[in-house]
Amino acid sequence: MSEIDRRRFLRLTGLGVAGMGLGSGLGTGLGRGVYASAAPATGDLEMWSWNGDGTYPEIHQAARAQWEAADDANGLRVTYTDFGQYVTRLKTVLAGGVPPDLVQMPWAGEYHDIIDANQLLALDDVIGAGFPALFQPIMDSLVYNDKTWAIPLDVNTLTIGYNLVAFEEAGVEVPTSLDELIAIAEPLRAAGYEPLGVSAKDGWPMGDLWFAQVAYTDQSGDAIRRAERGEISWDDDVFVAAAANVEKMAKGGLFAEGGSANDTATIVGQFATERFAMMYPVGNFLTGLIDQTSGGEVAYDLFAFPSPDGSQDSISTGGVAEMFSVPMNGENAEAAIELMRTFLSPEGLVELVDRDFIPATGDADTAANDDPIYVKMTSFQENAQTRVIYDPEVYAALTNEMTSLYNGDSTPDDVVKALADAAG
Amino acid sequence: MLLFIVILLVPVVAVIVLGFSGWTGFDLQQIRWEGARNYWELTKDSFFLAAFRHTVVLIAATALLMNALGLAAAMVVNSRVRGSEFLRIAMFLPLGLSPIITAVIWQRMLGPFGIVNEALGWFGISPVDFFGQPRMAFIALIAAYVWQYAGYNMLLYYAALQSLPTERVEAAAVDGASKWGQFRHVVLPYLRPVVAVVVILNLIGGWKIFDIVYVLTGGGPNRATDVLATYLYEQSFTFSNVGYASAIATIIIGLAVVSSLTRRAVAGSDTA
Repeated sequence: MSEIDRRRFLRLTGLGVAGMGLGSGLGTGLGRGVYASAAPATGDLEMWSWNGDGTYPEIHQAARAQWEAADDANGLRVTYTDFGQYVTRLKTVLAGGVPPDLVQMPWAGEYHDIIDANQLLALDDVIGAGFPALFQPIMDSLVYNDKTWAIPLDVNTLTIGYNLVAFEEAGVEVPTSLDELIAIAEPLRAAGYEPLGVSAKDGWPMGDLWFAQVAYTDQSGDAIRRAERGEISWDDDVFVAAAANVEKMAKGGLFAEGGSANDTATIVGQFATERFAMMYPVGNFLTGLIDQTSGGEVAYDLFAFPSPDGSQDSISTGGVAEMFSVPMNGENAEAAIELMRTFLSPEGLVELVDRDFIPATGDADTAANDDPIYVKMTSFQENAQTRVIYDPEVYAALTNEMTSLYNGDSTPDDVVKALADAAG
Repeated sequence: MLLFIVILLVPVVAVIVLGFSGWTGFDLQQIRWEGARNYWELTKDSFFLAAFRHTVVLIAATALLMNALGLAAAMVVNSRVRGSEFLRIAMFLPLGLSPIITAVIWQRMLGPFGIVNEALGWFGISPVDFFGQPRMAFIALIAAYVWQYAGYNMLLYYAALQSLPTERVEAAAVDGASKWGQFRHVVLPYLRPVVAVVVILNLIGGWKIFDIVYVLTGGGPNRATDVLATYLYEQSFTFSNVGYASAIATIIIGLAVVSSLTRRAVAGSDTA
């Protein structure tokens, strides 16, 4: 049977669906073969991502090599677009009906927008077929309208990076409460260091400062979700208290010179050249960049924002780092899913772990990477709290108003009022 | 003609029509007719009103500065004093840059660890958070915009000065008019129609200003430098409110058209 005839036959008889089930039973390697024969790519696969810096491209290239080495695989083209332009371009090609085959998907409001626009394939049926067991809380966070529309590659935690030498010179220890954190600013300055640089200009870290405090002020752990469902108001006390904690840090002089004009490149540069004693946020997407910028010369470690009164264990924020969706109108949907299987294959998981990424599955052997920073990041993952608001207008209000709070131009009440106003 | 209709007219008409709709921008079948609701919402939208106000202030400030600097530079260049050639080139060069590049240059210069703050540090002055403080961010934006486009005004004024009858200036000088008097009573009245046209050209360009704002400040901090076009962009591409964004675009088109008609009226009255 010719290739075209076989494709037509499989489509007519629905054997493509049966192939998914077979793939589920046979695991990653054979699962791939079933998909490839069910619907071979009609040309090179095209994948879009915004993670063109750091070590993510190495992960993509490793998967590409593995993918292209397969007998019947087509090539893979990866297109990187800076995040600032990514969502705009993605929405444009989706609206135009000519999307790439596999797209990195933002985990905030755009995810829901694009699903609402009926632009993505639901992936519930394939997640159990040939993929490792993915972390359930993470998968739960990706469910919208009762379906799952994205597959996570890895997860991250956002914590504070601190310079070991700076702390030693200033005679300070890792803080265990908010007051202690604020109190170390002065001795650090006296030792010649700016205390805590935050990549405020990028916007989203301003939201994360607040999320990091909500992790403590919200004992229920789901206040944000309840606010999104309209069950509680956005000006609830737990949200005010979180903003008040950030205000306390700002007024306490914790944040470094440069204020809200600092972006990621700036704070990494200042941290790598040992001008900033601490930087936030640090996730596995930045550890490689810190090492590259400092030439591996900066000795640093991580700690999560301590609980306000020091009575609780430290909680980091975290969530999906990189996740992919398959556009509804993509030409090679099944092949794109196969590519995701390649990313999460045993070989793919090794590539992730080797490069300090935390795979979104417990099947990965993270113990194989004994780098202390990596070990610390994986330990933070155990109690990490989510950090996402899905309503883009509420999220924009949060990042904007938190920037003002950070600059001393706004109050905690202003922050929650902005959230409530944006939610309408 | 067909090309004009397809490339220019159809998109403009489409934007105007979409301004009366609710649409996420994805599926044409999901367009909902909303009547004038978007425009009614805009009158109550504090972010839109702030963006409108910022745009007006930006246009007023940049037009004033660009005309003052452009005219002054044109006078110097026209006088052909020593260094005037250098001034002409220095004013003209930024025009050759993309606004994106201009924004990046100014971002680097005024950034927290940029050359300006380094220089302030030499004099013991604390660093200035140019992009963190609303007022400073707005001033930085005006400075970058004026730096880029003042040369354009200079060229227009310089061209007009080429046709200035020198005998009028000489007669004023003979009558004892000072340099300032010559400028005020002879040169400026002669340039009045040119000034009017240049100001209106600045207005037309100002209503649609986007790129330099988007890259330099992103409309921040906390919307302090948001202008009509950046707010339109956010509504359209971040919030997927394409109908609402189209209403904003229609307003920008309207303002540009009114400015353009004013320019024609001014030019017409001066040639009549």
